[in-house]
Amino acid sequence: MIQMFNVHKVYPGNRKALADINLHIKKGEFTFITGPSGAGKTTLIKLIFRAEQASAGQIIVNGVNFAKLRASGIPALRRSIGVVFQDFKLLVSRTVYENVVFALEVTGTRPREIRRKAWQVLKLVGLQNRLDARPLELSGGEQQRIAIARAIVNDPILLLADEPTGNLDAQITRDIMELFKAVNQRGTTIVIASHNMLLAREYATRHIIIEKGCIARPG
Amino acid sequence: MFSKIPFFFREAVQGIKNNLLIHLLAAGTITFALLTLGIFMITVINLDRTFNEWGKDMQVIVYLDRAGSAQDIARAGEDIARLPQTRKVTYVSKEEAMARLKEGLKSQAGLLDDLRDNPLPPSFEIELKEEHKNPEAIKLFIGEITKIAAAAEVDYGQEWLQRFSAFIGMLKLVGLSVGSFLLLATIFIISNTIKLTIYSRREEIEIMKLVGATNLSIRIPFFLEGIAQGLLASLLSLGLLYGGYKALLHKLIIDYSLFLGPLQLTFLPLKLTAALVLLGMALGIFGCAFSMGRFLRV
Repeated sequence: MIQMFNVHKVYPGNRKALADINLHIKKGEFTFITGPSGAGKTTLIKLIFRAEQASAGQIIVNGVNFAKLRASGIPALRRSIGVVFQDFKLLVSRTVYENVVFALEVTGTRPREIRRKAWQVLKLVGLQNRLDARPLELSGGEQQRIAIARAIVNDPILLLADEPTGNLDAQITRDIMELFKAVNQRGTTIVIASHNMLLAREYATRHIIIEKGCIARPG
Repeated sequence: MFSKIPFFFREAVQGIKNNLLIHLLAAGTITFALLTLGIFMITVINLDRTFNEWGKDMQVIVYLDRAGSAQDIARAGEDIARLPQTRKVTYVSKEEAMARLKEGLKSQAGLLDDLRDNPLPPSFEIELKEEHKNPEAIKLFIGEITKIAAAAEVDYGQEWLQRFSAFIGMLKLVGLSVGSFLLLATIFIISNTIKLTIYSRREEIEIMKLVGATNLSIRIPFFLEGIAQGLLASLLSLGLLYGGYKALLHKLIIDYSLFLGPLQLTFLPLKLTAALVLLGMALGIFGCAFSMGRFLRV
């Protein structure tokens, strides 16, 4: 699913974020990437959905070689990848339902299909009764559920999450992790970047540790 | 792409609703610019029109060589009558000219009694065809007249005509430069205002990119918002312009028409009105396109 060969990432100002990353994440894996703050977890996630470009090395995601990927091909790639962030990245002026269907509307999905898929995922994340609520009227856990619903509504083959439970308490964190587990069981490959080792030990089928921009344990 | 059209319109409406204040601010800026441009255009158009109207009252008088024979005069009269611009030629003999002068002087006509010879030259009073009664055509006509051998001098209020023509030319130039400057300033202000809008909506753009929207799909709702903004601004400026024209300018001219003679004012012609509306929309779109670029590079 994800292959990285000798990947380096250097930000402007010669700030080295990642060095010589070699990685192979298989389809259907539930992978945790952990490490201390500043280790390069977020950069690694960003490279996978092509929000950042590698300074050197090769990245292949779902058969797409990023070296040959043109800018016009990025939207199609992103439609096959769902992304969840610590700060949820929701449209606060829109309802729960609107936030979720936004991802489908933007890609030109037919209205009937939109309604069917949105209902399906909102039921999966347990927000089927909060369709008309606005994100800020909901708890942090519920907001993250909206973000997850939006990320999976397009049936992505890969779901990336960057510190998805960083702002949530222990019980809600477990609920969210159960949700990721359920998504994984539907066949979606999951990659979660987190500093929480305990969570990784409990849920991950594969646990990669990253330190100072290098892979310390490939898992 | 077509299946996304309703989505684009919904997004544009939502964008306007959510950012009403910034949109009104941008629309206000465009309104102000178009209004200023419109005022310039109306002023120049009306001055130009007035100038041409005045030209219509003009008569060309050709004073003839006093030493010319009756034959020369007759030939000159025929030559003038043959010119395509001429509608009517009236011959005014030396005697008739003197009689007119005396009539004009009324009680002081006695002053002329001491003159041994009649110093006044014979002349032709020429009335031009309607389509040639404008400063440019008159100038061309004068060029033709001066080629006639018996013509000694031509009087058509040339000095006044030239000065006024130069004044209108300068006014047009000032209007054009001020207009262009205003247009540039407006584009700059609009682009900054929209940058503010887009900056406030960068998260929205980021999310759109995140879920796989193409740059075009992201741009279209913003373009639609720009068009709506420009349309609102141009209609508003046209309304204000028309209101101002009716209330102020019209009254002003009625008051001054006593001095300037009867003047007929006109509002912007249909073509220019349409151009103003299109310009407003173009400004809206341009402002959007100009400001979006860097937020799309996610």
